[in-house]
Amino acid sequence: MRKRWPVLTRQGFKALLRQHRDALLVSLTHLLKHPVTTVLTLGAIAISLALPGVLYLLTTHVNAAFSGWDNRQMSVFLEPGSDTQAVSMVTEQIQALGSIARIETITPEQGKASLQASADLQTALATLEDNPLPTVLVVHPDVSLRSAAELESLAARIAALPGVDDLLLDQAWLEKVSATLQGFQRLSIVVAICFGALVILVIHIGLRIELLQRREEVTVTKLVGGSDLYMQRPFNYIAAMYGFLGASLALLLIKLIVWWLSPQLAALNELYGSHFQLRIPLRFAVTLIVATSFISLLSTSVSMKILLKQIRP
Amino acid sequence: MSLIECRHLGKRYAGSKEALLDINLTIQRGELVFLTGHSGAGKSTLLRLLALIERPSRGSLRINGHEISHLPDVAIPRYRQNLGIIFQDHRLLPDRNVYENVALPLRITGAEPRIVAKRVRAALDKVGLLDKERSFPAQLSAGQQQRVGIARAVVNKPALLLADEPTGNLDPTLSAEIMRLFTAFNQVGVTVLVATHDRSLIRQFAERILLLRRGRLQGDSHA
Repeated sequence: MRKRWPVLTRQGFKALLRQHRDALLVSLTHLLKHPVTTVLTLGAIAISLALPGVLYLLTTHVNAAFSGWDNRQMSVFLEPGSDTQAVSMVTEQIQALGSIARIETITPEQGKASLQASADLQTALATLEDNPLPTVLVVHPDVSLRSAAELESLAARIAALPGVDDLLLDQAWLEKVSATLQGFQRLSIVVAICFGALVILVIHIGLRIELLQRREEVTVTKLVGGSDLYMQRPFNYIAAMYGFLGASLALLLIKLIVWWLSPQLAALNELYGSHFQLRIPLRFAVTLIVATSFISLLSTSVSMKILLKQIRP
Repeated sequence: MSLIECRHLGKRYAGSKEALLDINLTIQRGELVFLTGHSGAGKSTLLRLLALIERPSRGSLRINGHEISHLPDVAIPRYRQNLGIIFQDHRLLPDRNVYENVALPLRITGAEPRIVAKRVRAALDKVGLLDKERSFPAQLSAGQQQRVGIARAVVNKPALLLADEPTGNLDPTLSAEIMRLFTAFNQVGVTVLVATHDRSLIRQFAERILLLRRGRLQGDSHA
């Protein structure tokens, strides 16, 4: 037998709209009548979202900044005291190995000047009579070398050349940084889930207390023909508003934290020659608001169903 | 056509003895019926079954020709919207004024504000409290509070009015006043079922009396 769906008449639709309008008014009145509870709940939601939010944004942006780097370059440290001739010889030998795009030479003087300019080490460096820095060759392999194994093989051959003291493959530490950042990114998601669960729990407990305080009202409403859905409606609106306002407040908090971190990020940019800026992407903001409102609404709806069933006239 | 029809109706609460046993009765549309008996006789249980606050343990309960003992939970609110229920302790909401208390059943149905205002004022007029619509329950006397409860019960124009010891907390004069209201509603076609053990009221107002004793229907008499 085919199921017949109830037909919503024009009059029925108008009645439904009036019920929703009433529920919205009741929920707004409730929020305004209990400002302390409202502010505390919104604060709890905002903080719970802002902390993992900032962590996620930071790790995503820093990761993106590092991914823009040519992480296949390697720094070749020549033996101390290598003269111009020795430097040229090693450079030619490296070129001869093939698959090299270009080689930059950083003399001890250039290295010292760079340290003095960017790392506040003038005083320490000034105390040194001799320049202890070696000549460094920054080797950029060409695009034909793609795999880590190929790079490592080239690095091993360069390291074995006479006149080479040490070699640092930038990719290795960049991969470590990248892996660490990815770890932090996942951690931020886990933290967000934990805090989200905490927020749901806080809302559930709040609703339970609220319902217990309004037990008589719920009972009477049930007795005069109020359905669970009717009683649930104002709470659903409250939950949606908590979600929307809480997420908006969280975005504001994130903005403040980003502003507070901006000098440190500028210093980091200068140190690594990167140009990344920490911004809140529109997609992130919209997702945060929509997801929080939806989760808040859904959890409240489920909680209310359970709690209202427990109250019998 | 009968409005209420019980056949072998019984109710047993979990872990206790039978509250109602093999009740067979028929109440016609437009009757004013008194349900009486000692405390624990089953008066309130019968009213709770009729309001579907409790489900029967056995037997059949038909309202207006429809079997309601197995009505799905989701359909109960709609069923109760066609009932008027009055309690001994009136159960008014203390934080809402008289107008809002009476308007509650109409708000639930999403009635137009114009209709809400018209019906609430008509109901308050009937119970003589039109001038108290802005008052809160705590500002009213016990008799006035009960009359507000009655106004709330009739505002939806129910076909059946159930009253559980509606005069239990009132003095004889106020009790008679409340009973006169029930008689007035009955005269315009509302079926009224009043549970009470006040014999003077029964003598004064009863048309039909159902006597319950230890969960069984012991008597069904017309005045």
